[in-house]
Amino acid sequence: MRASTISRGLDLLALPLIAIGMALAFLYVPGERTMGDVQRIFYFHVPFAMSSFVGFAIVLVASLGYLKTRRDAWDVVAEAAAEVGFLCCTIVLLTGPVWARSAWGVWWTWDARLTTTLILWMVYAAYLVLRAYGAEDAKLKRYAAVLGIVGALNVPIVYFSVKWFRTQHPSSTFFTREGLPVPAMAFTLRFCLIAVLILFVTLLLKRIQVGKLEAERDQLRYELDARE
Amino acid sequence: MSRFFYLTLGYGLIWVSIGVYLVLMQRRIDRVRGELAELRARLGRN
Amino acid sequence: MNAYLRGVFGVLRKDLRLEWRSREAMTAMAFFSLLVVVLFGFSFQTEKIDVRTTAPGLLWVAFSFSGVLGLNRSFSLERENGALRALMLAPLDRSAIFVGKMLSNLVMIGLVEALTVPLFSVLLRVPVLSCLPQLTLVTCLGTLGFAAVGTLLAGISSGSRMREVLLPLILYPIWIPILVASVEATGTVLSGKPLSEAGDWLTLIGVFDLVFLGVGFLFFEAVLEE
Repeated sequence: MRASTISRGLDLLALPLIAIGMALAFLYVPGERTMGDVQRIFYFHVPFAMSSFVGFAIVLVASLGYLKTRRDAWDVVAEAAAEVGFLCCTIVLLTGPVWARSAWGVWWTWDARLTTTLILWMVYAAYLVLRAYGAEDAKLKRYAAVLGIVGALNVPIVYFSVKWFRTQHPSSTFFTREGLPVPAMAFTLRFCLIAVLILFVTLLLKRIQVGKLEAERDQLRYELDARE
Repeated sequence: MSRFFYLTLGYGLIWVSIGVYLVLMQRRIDRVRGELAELRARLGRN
Repeated sequence: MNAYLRGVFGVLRKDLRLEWRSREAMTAMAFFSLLVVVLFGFSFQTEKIDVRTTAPGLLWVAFSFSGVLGLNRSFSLERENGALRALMLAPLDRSAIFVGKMLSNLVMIGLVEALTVPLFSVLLRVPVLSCLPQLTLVTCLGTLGFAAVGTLLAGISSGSRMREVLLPLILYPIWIPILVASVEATGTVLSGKPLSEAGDWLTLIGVFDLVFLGVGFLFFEAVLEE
């Protein structure tokens, strides 16, 4: 009951926060000098990128948890985090090219950070493909956990190896140590980060709920089979 | 004008994808609830 | 420790002997490699393939394609007739099975690569003789990573419903980073530059190799248990 109360509360919290974030990004923040108004997409592009990393961290922890304890709850969490993380990563890959098209004139370049995100997306996709195509129930959970661990460990190395390459992705100019050029921008970004992370958690909890229902259904089916 | 086109497109894609995901998830919940009800009924009857 | 190594070499010897008797997998892989190279030759129709930009990529794509064939074979054999169950009953550490199978895959993929390189060099007219030692080093490092993560994931795919079809789908996304690094390092080597210029890439491959070997060592057990 308590978990569902928290989930309900977050549902109610997420929408207004996102609305305020949108308002801040569109009305409050001044347009960026060189990039113009399109730059306003960053206030949601960046938080979704962060969320997809958080998703992978959860997949890693939950997969390790499953292999250690063999509790199905961990498996449900890992699958939910992979799915919601995949959604966030998809959003990053959709908004990024839109911005790139307007700023660089091309939808896509094989820039290091874009490539990294694409790899991240494909690792998520591979994980979901394995879960979709499946195996016997108990086997599948173990397999998914191992793939989740391999995939998640891949991510930080890929991410940090980016630092070795020259990148034209703006994060190096946008997030320099001096911070964002205008305090209003930093505030808006931080606000949107919190709003999107709360949205992420909301979606995650909802998805976990679905997973629990499905686990219950499988259990009932199993009992029915055993009885007949 | 065109810069607002890209901005709208970007935010549009974000909320459309989340909307689609929510709809898919709701349909999934409905289906599982239905299956659960049916299974419970059958288990009760037997 | 000694017993552990004996287990590793036991598995390795078993796999290689099995392959030596039929030579099925190697023949298939080598022929497939040749086909990939020829397909490239036909589909690009270039007089001369650019050594720096195109050649290393083609070479590694050929390696990746034929490698998957070998990995799949290595586990489909075990799943037939319950051979895997027998292997698991043997008084062996599960990680020893991983290391042994990883090594046998490494040897087989490596041999096919050694056949592919001269064909590739002749058919696509890419000179390799002058940089053979460096090329060998780069290839060995890259293939080690491929065999490590490939053996682990082939264990998974062979137990799934999709079997052989699944392996490339789950392997390639994870393999891409090493592929990129290997292609870059190979490009540096093929264009006659010293190995030190590919230092960063080689380090990156090394890090991936270690991570994947470690993960396979630790988690292969979870894949095998029935």
